[in-house]
Amino acid sequence: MTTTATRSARTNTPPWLIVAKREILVQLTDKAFWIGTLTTLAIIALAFGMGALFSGDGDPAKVAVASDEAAAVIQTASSQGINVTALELPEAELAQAVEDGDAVGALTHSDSAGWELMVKNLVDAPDLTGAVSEYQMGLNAASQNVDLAQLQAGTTLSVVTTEAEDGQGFAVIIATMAFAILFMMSAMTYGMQIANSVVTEKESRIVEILAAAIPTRQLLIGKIVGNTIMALGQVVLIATAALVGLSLSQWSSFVGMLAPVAGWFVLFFLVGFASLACLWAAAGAMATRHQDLSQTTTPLMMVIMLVYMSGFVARGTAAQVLSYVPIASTVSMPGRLLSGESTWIDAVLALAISAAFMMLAVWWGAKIYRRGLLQTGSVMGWKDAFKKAV
Amino acid sequence: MLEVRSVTRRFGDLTALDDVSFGVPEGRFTGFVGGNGAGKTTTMRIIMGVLAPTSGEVLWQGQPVTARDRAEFGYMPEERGLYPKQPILPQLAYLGELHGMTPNDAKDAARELLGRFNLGERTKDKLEKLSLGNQQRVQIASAVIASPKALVLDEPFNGLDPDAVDEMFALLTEFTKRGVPVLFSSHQLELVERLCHQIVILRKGVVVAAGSVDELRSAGPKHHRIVAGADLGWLRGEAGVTVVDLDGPNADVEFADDTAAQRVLAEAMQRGAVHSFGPIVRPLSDYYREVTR
Repeated sequence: MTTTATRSARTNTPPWLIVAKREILVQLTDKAFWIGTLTTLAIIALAFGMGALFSGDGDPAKVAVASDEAAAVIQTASSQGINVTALELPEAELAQAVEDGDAVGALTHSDSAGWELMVKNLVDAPDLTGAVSEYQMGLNAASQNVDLAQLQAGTTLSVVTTEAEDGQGFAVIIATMAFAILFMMSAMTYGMQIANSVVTEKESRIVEILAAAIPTRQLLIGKIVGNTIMALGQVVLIATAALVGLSLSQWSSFVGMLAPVAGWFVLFFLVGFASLACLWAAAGAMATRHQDLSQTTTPLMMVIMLVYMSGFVARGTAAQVLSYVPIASTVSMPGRLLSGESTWIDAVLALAISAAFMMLAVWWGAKIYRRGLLQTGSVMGWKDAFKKAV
Repeated sequence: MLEVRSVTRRFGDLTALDDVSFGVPEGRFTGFVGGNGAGKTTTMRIIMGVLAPTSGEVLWQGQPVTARDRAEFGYMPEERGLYPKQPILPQLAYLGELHGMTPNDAKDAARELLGRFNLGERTKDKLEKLSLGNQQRVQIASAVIASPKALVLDEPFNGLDPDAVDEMFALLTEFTKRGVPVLFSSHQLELVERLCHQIVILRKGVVVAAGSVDELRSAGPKHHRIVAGADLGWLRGEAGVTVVDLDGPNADVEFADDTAAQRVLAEAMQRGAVHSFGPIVRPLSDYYREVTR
């Protein structure tokens, strides 16, 4: 023995970090992980590709205009390759045309409001930003002796909706659903990964060696940190891919609105997932073999499914209440931020409630985890686990 | 020295360990013997902190053992276990890191140990791909990878063929030579007798005997066996001699003291040839049966 004969320098790396590193590495070196991730990205790319394909065809979208300037902007947009055509109407009929669906939007210009595109549904809004900018810059440049600031004055386009501000906007619904799906996918995949990882160690009996080498709390923290990083990585990757896809599509005008809300979602997801993570570990520790997981993870699956469904069905007051409920807020709050029904103050409050719940869940989950970890005889029920933990 | 002091452990109404105390001296093999359910595994789990004692404590160098101490102990649990679906090198290195080694040191030590066990070519193989004997070798490697300052091994020789037993014993001897205390449990008494310096015998959660192998062997009555050329019937009349068994020229006797022994030897030589005269070394199993009965 040469190297092992002498005691080598010991590291001060905390054990949980070593465990977290392993959790991540094991997944990164797993083929199934890469296949799953790449498939998801491919589906997103395909979805936007199909959208672009279909939107490129068909009749040009009609934009109602009442002035020559507006008609000129539509002309410019059309020449830029945007599939729009002008529908000339008297000024008084513009709003009605949009409301009736005769036109997807109405483009107006006034000295007070500048350029405005009035639409019924935000998703229908054609991207006229470039055309307005080009047209207006041309006008500005035509006037003499202007500096750059003056040149660019009045070239911004604000999009307004004819709908009442009740948050039922199509875009908000779609975004909420997207958040719900993303939440379900990642929370389930990585929650199950935690439970699996725990039960693998129990089933293979290596847990006793691990528990002898490091405190079980460190083992638990490592697992949660590792898998939360992976889950968060996946969410960020998918959200980024979706935003990039969006920016390349005809709905690119939404990116600016969606990006900060997506940021909130990631934040809520982090806290929501961490709350569940310890409970997933507990579910893993309650099982003795992989087959038992379907039994011990049922309550968690139900929580996730309920939160997922709430993203589709909860509206109005229900959505408002849910936006403060831990875990459910992950899906509800970002949508309400998007519609403007909730402000960042609500979001911070909901996040604080979630964080408080997270601490409770971590404490309780850790308790069950430690209790179940070395019990290899029989499956522990949740009722039992609850009784023992409180 | 690793020391178990007054450890009691109850599981509900069952008292698995009752005031268990013993020491594992440095540089010595201490064999831990006892029947099924005697409490060996429970004791080892308590030493390793996997299980908490109901009362009592475990000491390392006279101080209550800490998590940091335990991180430097090597442990082989009764129920073997490693990651079946992970290659053997990374998982050994991982365990080394958990024991406080730097990633590079851990990898080097893992590679070296695997090379020593003739598994140097198979470092990328998953554990489940190895034969049971080789899996056992990897298991042993996992216990010693971090150059432990104490070793606690639960039935380490279970399932090993004689060659592997020798191989493992040679490896463990390197540790005792450096002063590492080694505690191992076994139900193979001959093996314990051959390998151990110290023995602790447990019966139903109670230490019934503890001491060096020689001490235990020589405990209790000392018998001598005499094999002579002629009939030894005359021994029955000798003072200071108790005849245990007599069969013509063969006799098992117990002497009151050494003088009696020397006197009988001289007498026997006068009466004829003496082929053999000496104390009977009792096999440890005799003693074991006596104390665990």
